[in-house]
Amino acid sequence: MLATARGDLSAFGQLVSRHQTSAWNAAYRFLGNAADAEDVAQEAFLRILDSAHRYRPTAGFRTYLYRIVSRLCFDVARRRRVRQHQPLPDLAANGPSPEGVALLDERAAIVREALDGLPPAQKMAVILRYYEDLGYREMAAVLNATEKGAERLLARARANLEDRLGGLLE
Amino acid sequence: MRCRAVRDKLDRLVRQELAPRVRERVEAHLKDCAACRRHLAYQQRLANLLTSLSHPPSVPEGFGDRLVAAARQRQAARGPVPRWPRHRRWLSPPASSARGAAQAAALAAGLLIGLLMGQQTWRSAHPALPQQALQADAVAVYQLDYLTDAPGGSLVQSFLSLTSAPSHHGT
Repeated sequence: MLATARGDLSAFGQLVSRHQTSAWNAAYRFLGNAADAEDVAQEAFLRILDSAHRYRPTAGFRTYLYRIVSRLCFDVARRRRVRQHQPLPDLAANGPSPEGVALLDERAAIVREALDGLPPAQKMAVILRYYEDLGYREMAAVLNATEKGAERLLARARANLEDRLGGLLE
Repeated sequence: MRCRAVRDKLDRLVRQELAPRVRERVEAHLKDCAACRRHLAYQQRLANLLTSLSHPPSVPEGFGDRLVAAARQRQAARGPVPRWPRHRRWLSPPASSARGAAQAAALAAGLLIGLLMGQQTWRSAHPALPQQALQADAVAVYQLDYLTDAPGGSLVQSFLSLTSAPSHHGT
């Protein structure tokens, strides 16, 4: 990061290759389509480059990156209603029967719809916790909340999801 | 511990992220509370359901290269990356006392020059009114001549006669 702050683009390239998957996955899970996810991930890294000279390592770089990605995702969500997820390709890769595939697809569609129906901050909290595996302290830093606040936010998200997914949870 | 507080912590309990003392309290509550135990099972099913979703596709091919190219373009358009902001360096303590004294002297000289220039500007913008002219023709001095056409006996005429009257302060 120090080398990036000095304008070293090869150091920036290394930073990108190390962390691009985190930025991409979080953006894709939130926005549900590749074009928007790429825009957000790219813009996040460019913002990091622009403000690299102000960066202070008070938190991990990944937390810092998720924070920027989250804000950009919220901006996109504010500007327009988030589109429906495109079908994700590899759910049935282990080879269940055609009926099983259909069942899994249907279940996955219901879960995605429930996720999409959450308010943006709750949705991002679920993504950070269940998919990106962040701890509560990191989540709080990303979402600009206290640890207790992050805990409550996730609890509300779970309650909402349980309401929407009641049938699948029985 | 209340049920709501316990339920907020179940996720951390499962992942073994709770401090030992909190974990003991949550576990003690769970032993006695069937509703919270059901909630824990429900939460685990929800977690399984969420994590059963497929992974996003891989990062698009060439993403990193496109990004570095965009960064290079941006950097070329802006010139060299700025180093630590100048104003911060200026505000930081001076490296030596001699340098500090020189900075203080330069600041004092600048303030003095500014003060003198300001005073001069003020004087040229506000010339002193000659005392004699004041007494001789108050209408001209106060630029009230455009009021001289007012009808006789009006309030303005009275004001003019008052201001034009000779002073009674013994001068």
